[in-house]
Amino acid sequence: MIDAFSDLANGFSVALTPEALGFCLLGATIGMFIGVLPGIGALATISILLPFTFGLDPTHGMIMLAGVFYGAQYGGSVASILLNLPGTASTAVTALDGYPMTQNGRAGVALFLTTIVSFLGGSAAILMMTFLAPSVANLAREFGSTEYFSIMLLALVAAATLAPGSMIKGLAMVVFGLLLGTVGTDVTSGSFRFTFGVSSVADGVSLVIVVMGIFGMGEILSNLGNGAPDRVPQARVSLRSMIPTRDDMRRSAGPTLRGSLTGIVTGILPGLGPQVAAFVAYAIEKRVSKRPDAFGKGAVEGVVAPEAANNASVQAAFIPTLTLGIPGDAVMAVMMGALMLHGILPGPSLIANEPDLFWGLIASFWVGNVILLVLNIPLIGLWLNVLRVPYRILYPVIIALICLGVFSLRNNPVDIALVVIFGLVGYGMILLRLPAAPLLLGLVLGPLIEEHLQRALIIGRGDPMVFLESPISLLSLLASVVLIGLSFRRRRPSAAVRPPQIGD
Amino acid sequence: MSDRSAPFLGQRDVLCGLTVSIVGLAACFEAWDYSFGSLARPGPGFLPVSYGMILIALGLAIAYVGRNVQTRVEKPAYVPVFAISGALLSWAWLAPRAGIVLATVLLVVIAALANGRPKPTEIGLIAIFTSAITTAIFVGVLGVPLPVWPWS
Repeated sequence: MIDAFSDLANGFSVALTPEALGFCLLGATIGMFIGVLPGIGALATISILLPFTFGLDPTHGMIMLAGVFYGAQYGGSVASILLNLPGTASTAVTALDGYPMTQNGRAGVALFLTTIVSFLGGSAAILMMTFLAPSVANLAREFGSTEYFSIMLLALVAAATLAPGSMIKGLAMVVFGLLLGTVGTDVTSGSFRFTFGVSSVADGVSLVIVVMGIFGMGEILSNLGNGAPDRVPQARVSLRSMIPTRDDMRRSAGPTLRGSLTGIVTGILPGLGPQVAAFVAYAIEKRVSKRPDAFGKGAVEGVVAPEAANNASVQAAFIPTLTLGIPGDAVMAVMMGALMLHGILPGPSLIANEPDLFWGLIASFWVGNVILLVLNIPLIGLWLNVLRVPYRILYPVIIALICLGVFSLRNNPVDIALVVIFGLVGYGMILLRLPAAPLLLGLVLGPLIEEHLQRALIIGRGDPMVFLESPISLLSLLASVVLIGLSFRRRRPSAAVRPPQIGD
Repeated sequence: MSDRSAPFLGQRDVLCGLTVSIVGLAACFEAWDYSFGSLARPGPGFLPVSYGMILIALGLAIAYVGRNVQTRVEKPAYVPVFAISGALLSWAWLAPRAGIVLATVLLVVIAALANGRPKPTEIGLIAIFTSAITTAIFVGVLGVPLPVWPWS
């Protein structure tokens, strides 16, 4: 306990330097901005910003990217509540009761409570992370290649089966990602795989290129194809209208607590991103409520619980990513990729080897959440103006940023051609309803899976039974089988409840 | 959305499954020449071929499970596809030759064609603004060594 506090204090000394503060503020503000804007996800933004972080200190880079991720959760709720137009997929549930509150003239209260509760949910998850992460890392230090292989396999299966949508399609995209991960030079033998004589891919397909193509260009094509809303209607909110009644506060306490817990659990488990967290938290509140028929008509509980949950989930997702090196969703896969590009391998030894990065990042979460708490309310007027920017002005700017970002990596025009290829693949995947997040997880974990599989097989002298001898490995494999079995049983047409989602 | 008369290949899940299988098949075809190795010493072709085979199986499963779901594949938005691809490729071609300022102006103009009703003045303004801002950020603020003008 004492250790955790002194480590955290050390983290604050990193996070409170003027530079770190600046990047935290920048990331959180950009996150809020894109959270408000419909049509650009947190994932696309993080990947577009990725090249910017290469020149930075890794800690500052991560602080900024993380700020974009959780900032988007704050911003997304603004558009959900005021316009019934979710800025990000994870805040779609908030619109169910948030927009009716606006129609009842209680938009101010909804926005105010959302901001407070987002902060509380995020804080609960950060606390959990402070105390839990070091012990998870200690446990993981005992793992060998056999255990790692099986746990990664479980993470991939969980990501494919637990995420909304078809389980088989999710699995297929995991395998496609793993296959993309084999492109390039094979580490053990030095032979080229799937390079087709293109020397730019000898080191493998860069994560940045795949993400920019699939989530940047693919998302733009999908938005243009669907005829994205060009202009949105306006709403007005005064500061005076934001003060919640005593009754609002009392009714928010329980949902905040339950929502935060739901968010933490779903954040740690792979495959369950913030949108699942928000959805589950809403469902729980409706079930425990004494008057479930009030939901959907402007119930405070229906706004508070999902908002606490999606923020808690976003923060908690960092626990497995940083301590095990196993990202749970697409954004975490990109974060992990960003660290690896800096030469830092997330895993059990990260906390010991890079204490400044780890504790600085955690401390920055708190700094960032306070920044968002303070900024969100006064900036609402500005965000309403931001919503006026038509998409036809935004997308050319995004494309220009993609070009410059990719080109500045290696000054290689072929990389941009690769972005186009992956953009077309991504658009095709959207048309065929193939989920993109499992692909990213496969791509990031692919080389690690291959390494650990080879090592485990060499240790076991080619006997695949080694994977059943270690209890942790055996349990992971059994859990994977159970997950696949369960999803065969529960796949019935019940997916219609969830709104469609693309990247984030 | 659902349409009883969707042709077999126009059904989304059938097309989806077959596409996945074809990708798997292509991967197996290409990776067949890589050394497969043995379980005790897996070669470079071991995982690619395995992944390819799993993809073939999963693809067939997707098509089989979805064979009665008569949902049509939406028509791709061809104009945006060509405009956006063209914008990116034109930038890739022009930037090393004429610098990023001109390349970005051209990029915005081509990308703007993806939108149904182009307004020349507005596009011109966006093009100049985008080019100036991105160049200022990348070269001015971040100091990335990039060719700015044709003569630099």
